[in-house]
Amino acid sequence: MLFYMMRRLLVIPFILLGVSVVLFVLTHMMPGDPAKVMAGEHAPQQTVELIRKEFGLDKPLPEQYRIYISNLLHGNLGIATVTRRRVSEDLGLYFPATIELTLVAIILTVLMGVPLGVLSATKKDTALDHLVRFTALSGVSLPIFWLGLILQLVLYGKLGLLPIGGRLDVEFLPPPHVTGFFTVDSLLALNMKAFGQTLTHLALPAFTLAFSSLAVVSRMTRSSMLEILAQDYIRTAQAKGLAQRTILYRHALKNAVIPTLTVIGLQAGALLSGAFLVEAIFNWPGLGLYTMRAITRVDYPAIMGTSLLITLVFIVINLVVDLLYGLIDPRIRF
Amino acid sequence: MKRKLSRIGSSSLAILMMIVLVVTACGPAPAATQVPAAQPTATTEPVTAPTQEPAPVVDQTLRVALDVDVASLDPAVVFNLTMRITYLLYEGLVTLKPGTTEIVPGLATSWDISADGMTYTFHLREGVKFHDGTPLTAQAVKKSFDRFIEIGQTVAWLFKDSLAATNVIDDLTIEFKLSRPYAPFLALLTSVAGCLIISPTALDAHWGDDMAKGWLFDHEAGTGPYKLESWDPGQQTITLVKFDDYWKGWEGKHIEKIVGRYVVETSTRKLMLEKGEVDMAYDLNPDETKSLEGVEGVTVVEEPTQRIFVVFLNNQKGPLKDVKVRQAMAYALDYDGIRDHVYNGKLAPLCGPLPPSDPNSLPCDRVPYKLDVEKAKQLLAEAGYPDGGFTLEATVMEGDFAFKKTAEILQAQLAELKIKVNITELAWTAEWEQIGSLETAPDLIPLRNYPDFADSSSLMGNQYASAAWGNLGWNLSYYKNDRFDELMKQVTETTDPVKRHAMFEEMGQLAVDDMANIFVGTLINQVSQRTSVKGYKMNPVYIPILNAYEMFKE
Repeated sequence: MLFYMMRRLLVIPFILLGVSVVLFVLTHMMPGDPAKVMAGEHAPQQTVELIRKEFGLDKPLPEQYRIYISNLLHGNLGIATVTRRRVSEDLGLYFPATIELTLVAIILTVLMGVPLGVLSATKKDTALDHLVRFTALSGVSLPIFWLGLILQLVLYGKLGLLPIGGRLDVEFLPPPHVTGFFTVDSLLALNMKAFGQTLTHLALPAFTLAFSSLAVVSRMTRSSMLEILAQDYIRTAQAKGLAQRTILYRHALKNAVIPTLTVIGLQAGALLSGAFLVEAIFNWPGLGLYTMRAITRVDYPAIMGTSLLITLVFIVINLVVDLLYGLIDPRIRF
Repeated sequence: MKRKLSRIGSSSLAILMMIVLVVTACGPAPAATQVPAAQPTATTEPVTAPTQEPAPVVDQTLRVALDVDVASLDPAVVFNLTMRITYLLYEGLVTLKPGTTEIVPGLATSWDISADGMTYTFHLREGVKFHDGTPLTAQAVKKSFDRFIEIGQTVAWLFKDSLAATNVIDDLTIEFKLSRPYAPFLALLTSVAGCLIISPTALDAHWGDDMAKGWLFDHEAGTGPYKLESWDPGQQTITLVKFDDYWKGWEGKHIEKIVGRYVVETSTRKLMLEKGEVDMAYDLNPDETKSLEGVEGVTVVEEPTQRIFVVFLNNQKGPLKDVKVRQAMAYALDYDGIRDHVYNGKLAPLCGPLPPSDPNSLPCDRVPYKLDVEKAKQLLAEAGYPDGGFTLEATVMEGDFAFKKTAEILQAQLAELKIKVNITELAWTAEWEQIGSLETAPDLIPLRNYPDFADSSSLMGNQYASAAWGNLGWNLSYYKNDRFDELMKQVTETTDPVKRHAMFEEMGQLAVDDMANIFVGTLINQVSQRTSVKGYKMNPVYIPILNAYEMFKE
């Protein structure tokens, strides 16, 4: 298993290098002149040229790429043209927010999706099953943007139950920075008020984000459960007189979870991209908002930095999922 | 049987849930809730319960939902709506009277202009302190200006043509020597970009090798009424508090604290305003603003600005080369329709290249263009296109519905004249590139324009001067007229306002007769705010300005 992990980890830099070439070419093919954007709408051509030189945008493309890669190898992701800060600082600032949101969404997906799927499978064709299937259908059909806006309108606008957005109330001081995850940091600082606020602020965005993944996972769990429950060894277990609960959780679910795990791994990707939309609606100061601004303002270093980071995240998620297979299924050997 | 019933059951459940969801969402909005009077700023220490106040002292904190995230706090670099923030932290020598284009003293109490118009001497106000305690002197002004010109961004280019030297006469007197008579110079100095004075102590301490740009990015050292308390880019919130030693003093009612929060979506801003979570929301679209009418606790402040909405017509390509065809376009546009359907009635007229609030604008009776399809047909026939028969390319900026809708209205009107219009939507940066060269530039460009400083020559020049050809400036019509260029030169050099007025009128008439671009309307700026906010005055030229010092809550 260790060799397997080492092999997988060693390949990562090469993957990133390849991705960086593609990304570099694609971003520089985007229409729009970053120097003009930085100079301002009414700036004359001389100011634009001045800025172009300042940021090295007048050099030939291969030269710019060479400079970018050599900086990257020294850990320097460049200076974002929109925020005028180092990209690594920006990523450090906004990445934890997105990951916190996505992780909570994954937790919601699993904690709500799997039990719903199991329930739906065991109570097949009852009203409960139909309710779960309807929820699943709406989950994959409702556009995430619409869902977020409606939830915001109802739960904040009409009922005033949950906040409209942001990670904390406006004039509230965040807990001291340890991980960047406000849930973890507020617990570490024993600041229960901050913890409470973080949770209420997480509720709507995480739920909106999780809703469609939840739907997919519940359907997946349901169908694999149904398939497994029809297997011979389940009938053997029942014939042997084992309790339904034992059969369900010790025997059936473990097998059902393997295809579900694949789906969860894939959903992680969908969740990251869904996070971009959710961040816009709920004003979540994460990577999504940052990247949207970077793209509209043609901020090359920021776009490159974010894309490379997300590529890395995907690679890691895939690795984790593969390793989890090994943990859950004793038949899988590395 | 059971299956059929359960299927009916689940479908009815589905329908019921949809109905409930739709009804709740479409119901009337409840009355806006009251913001709690004292918001305890939480720290990690235990918080004491908020005390009951016997007499309601109104919290003079202004909470604003910003439409742009703060980019930088350096006044020599910032050139977008963040100027709203820098203009609260820093001040210039002169400024505009709130809500008007009248030039009034700022850090300078008075000024003398030499007879030849080439020397401007300013007398500085005594006793002004920067936020770090340094007193204001002429040396400080010189240092800030030299830095600004050297950095060369924002409006520095406007000074390069005219400013030759900045000289310190004594501690409170500074002299600007121009390289040629430049009438708009005083108006230039009111600019909210670049011309703001920074503390020399701060500049010296942090000059480094980037002229203090790094430090001034997220610190400030101005003389303005507010100083920076905190800027949290992670939370996208910026907080300003009052500067106790501000030279105007704090007698009377003033806003004492400003909390600005960047909110991406207009619908979110609107919702926050309705619930009282923010006091002011910028840049809502007209439909959202309209839906705020009649909502308790909310009011919309509106004023015509000097931002104009025009449709640039390419004067150098295709059928539009002929002035008659361009004039036909101007008679084919449904101006009232655009006002009513695109702007919900909130669009002021535009009679000529300058907006009505500009003292040098043409009287409306000199501009004949209004919707007159017969006249359009007649002009087209005279130009040799009695049955239309050509296609025009229009480009609109992505993300702004007003441009697209206007293009569509024009498309529909021109279709009646048998002229086809193809509309392309592009991101702003892509559109700008396309406009940049004559070969790729489209025929029709609906776009907004605005002056860079409070002088008529700004808007006139950037739209029609040949020096502003294409994207060198904003002459997106590729208009070239020698008489116009000659007048442009004269109007920047003549300081006599009467002579200038006559020149501006002649230039305006040229633009009207040559129909370089269609004058659709003057934008009315609408800012939605809570009724507790008083004293807000919009500036027609410098839209971003938030005159928080003159504002208060009750």
